[in-house]
Amino acid sequence: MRAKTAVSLIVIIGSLLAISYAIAAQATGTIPQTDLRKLADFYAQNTLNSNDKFLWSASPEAVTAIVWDYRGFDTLFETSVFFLAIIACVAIFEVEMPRRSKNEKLAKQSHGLSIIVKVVTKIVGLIIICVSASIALHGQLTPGGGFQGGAALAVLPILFIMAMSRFALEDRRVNRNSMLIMRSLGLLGIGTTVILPLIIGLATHNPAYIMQNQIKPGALVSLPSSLADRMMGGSLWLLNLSEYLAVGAGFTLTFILLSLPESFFKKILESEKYSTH
Amino acid sequence: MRNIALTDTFLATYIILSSIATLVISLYGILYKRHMIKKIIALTIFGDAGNIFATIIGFRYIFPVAPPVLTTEAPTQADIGNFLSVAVDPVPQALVLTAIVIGMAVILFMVFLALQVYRIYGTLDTKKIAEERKRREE
Repeated sequence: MRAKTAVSLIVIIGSLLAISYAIAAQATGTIPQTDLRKLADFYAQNTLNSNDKFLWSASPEAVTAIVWDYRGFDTLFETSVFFLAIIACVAIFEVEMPRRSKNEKLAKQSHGLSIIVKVVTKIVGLIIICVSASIALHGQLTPGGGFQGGAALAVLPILFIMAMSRFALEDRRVNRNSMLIMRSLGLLGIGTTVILPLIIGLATHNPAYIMQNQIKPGALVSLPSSLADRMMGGSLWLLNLSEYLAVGAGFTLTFILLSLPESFFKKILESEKYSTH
Repeated sequence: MRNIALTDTFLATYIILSSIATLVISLYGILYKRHMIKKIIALTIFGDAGNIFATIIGFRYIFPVAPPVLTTEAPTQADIGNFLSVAVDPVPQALVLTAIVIGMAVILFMVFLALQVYRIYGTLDTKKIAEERKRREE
């Protein structure tokens, strides 16, 4: 026990010293800096520089351009981490969803908080959907994107579960299976957008890279940078839309699973205990 | 444009020191607290302190400072020059925005695990869980 405490103390003090030394030795440059770093300068300079179409990403938002274009593979693998975390949650709670009994169906109105809270929740819910979709679908123009939009959308199921009940979501066809399908559709959209340049390249007999957005030297395939005079940022809009669906549906799924009553799981555990003996 | 060293500005030093302190305190929470939910809370604080620190690294200490978003539709070289002179570093922001959502998913996974541990052992105290496991093995 004493050895463990000593090790913990060494870890804490060691990390304190390491971080302090890294900052004092200016491993991250001066903080706060006054000039842009070289890497940031490159990204900010080229993100909407139409003079050099081999380097641009057709998006005025440098952050989204980095997330899905310049460092797109980072984000692709982050999405796979997200996928694994959510699928692990579903695997732990692999149960048949409890159905509503007849009495509960009759007493539909008696669930949840007062009628004022319910009505306000519905109004706020509509606003949340609009705002989160706006955050996600304007990701290539303004600060925002699929991750932020999806996280904003995930507030809605929590509000609904708190104010009404899980059944209020299920009445609107938001249940485990439909959310699994939505999330899979989002991930499928990301996968399709990643190999879309290859498909276009095959059709037009051009070489192309995986996850290519705009033209690159030797691979003259690009996704549309504007649609009806609106900047679309090529693959950025498609990837943001898919990520919005995947993140929103993934979080909704876990919140639905977390809202299952404890007595339900107690019953399952007890039945397992008796079946093994 | 002035070049400002770390110790020249009180506020910057204060923010950096407090974020380091938050990191270290959350490490203490992760290592020494016995309750699993407290460990998870400390872990979220650790992640958030790291994210704030990354954002500070990307900040620029100049007066007209702007987010890294171009506001003209077809910028000329002069527009891009102006943009470069005020925009903050977009790279840490790009890293942080994915880290927040992925962190939330991983934390949710840990909450699910803790819930399952509670259902099986009836407690979230790591010491009591170890005792209970020993008792059940015998």
